[in-house]
Amino acid sequence: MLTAPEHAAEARRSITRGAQDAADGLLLQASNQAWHAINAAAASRRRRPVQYAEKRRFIDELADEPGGSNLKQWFSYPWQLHGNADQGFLPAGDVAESVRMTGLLVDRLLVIAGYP
Amino acid sequence: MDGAKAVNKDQPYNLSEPARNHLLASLRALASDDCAKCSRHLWLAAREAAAVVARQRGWPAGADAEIKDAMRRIDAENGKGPDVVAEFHTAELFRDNANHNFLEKDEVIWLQPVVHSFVSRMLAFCPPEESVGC
Repeated sequence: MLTAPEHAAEARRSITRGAQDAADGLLLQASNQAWHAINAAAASRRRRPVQYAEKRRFIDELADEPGGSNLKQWFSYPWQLHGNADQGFLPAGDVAESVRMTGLLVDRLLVIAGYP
Repeated sequence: MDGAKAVNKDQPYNLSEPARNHLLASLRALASDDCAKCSRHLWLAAREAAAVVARQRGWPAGADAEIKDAMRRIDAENGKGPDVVAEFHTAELFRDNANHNFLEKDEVIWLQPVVHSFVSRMLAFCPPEESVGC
C-alpha cells in the first residue's frame, strides 16, 4: 500500500515514462502509462486508489477545489488514451499530444493534492 | 447527416443552426441508447461551431487539423491556457468513440455537457447580425 506522497511520485514517474514511450513509438504502452499516471495522481489526492467507477465523482468533486475549475474537459485526454490502450486507434502524433496534455493535468491534480 | 436537419442551400440560414441541429440529434440518439450515433453528432456539432468561428476570422477551417489550429489560436488570444483546445478535445474524444465505441453510456451522459458548453462558447463569438444569410 503506497502512501499519498508515494502515489504522487508514482504519477510523475509514469507520465515521464509515458512521454518517453510515445517518443519511442510505443503507443499502447504510452497510453497505459498516462492512464496509470492519472490514477496515481488521483490516489495522491484521495490517499487511496480511486476505482474506475468512482472516477467521475472524483472529478466532479475537484470542481469545488481551489484550482479545480474547468478540469472536466481535461480528462478527455487520459480518457482517450484509456480507449487507445485497448484498441490502438490513435496515430503517434495524437498519442504524444494527449500524453503531453495528460502531463499538464497530472501537474494540476498534484497541486490540488498538495504536491506541487 | 443522419438524424440532423438538412440545410437548404437556397435559403439564408443561421450559422448556428447546423451545430444546434447536431446537438438535438445527439440527444435523440442518446435517448435511443445509440451512444455511437450520439457521439458522432456531438463531434459534428462541435466541429461545425468551431469551423464557423474560424471562417469568420478568415482562418482555414476545411480540415480537422485546421480547425484545431484555430482553437489553439483562440487560446493564444485569450492567454489563459489551452482550455478551448481541451474542450474541443472532448469533442474529438466523441469522434473517436463514434468509431471505436469505448465509452459507457454513463460516461457519454457525463461528458456531453462539455460539448454543449463548447458549442455555446463558440456560437457566442458570432454576432447575431453576422450569423444570418452567410
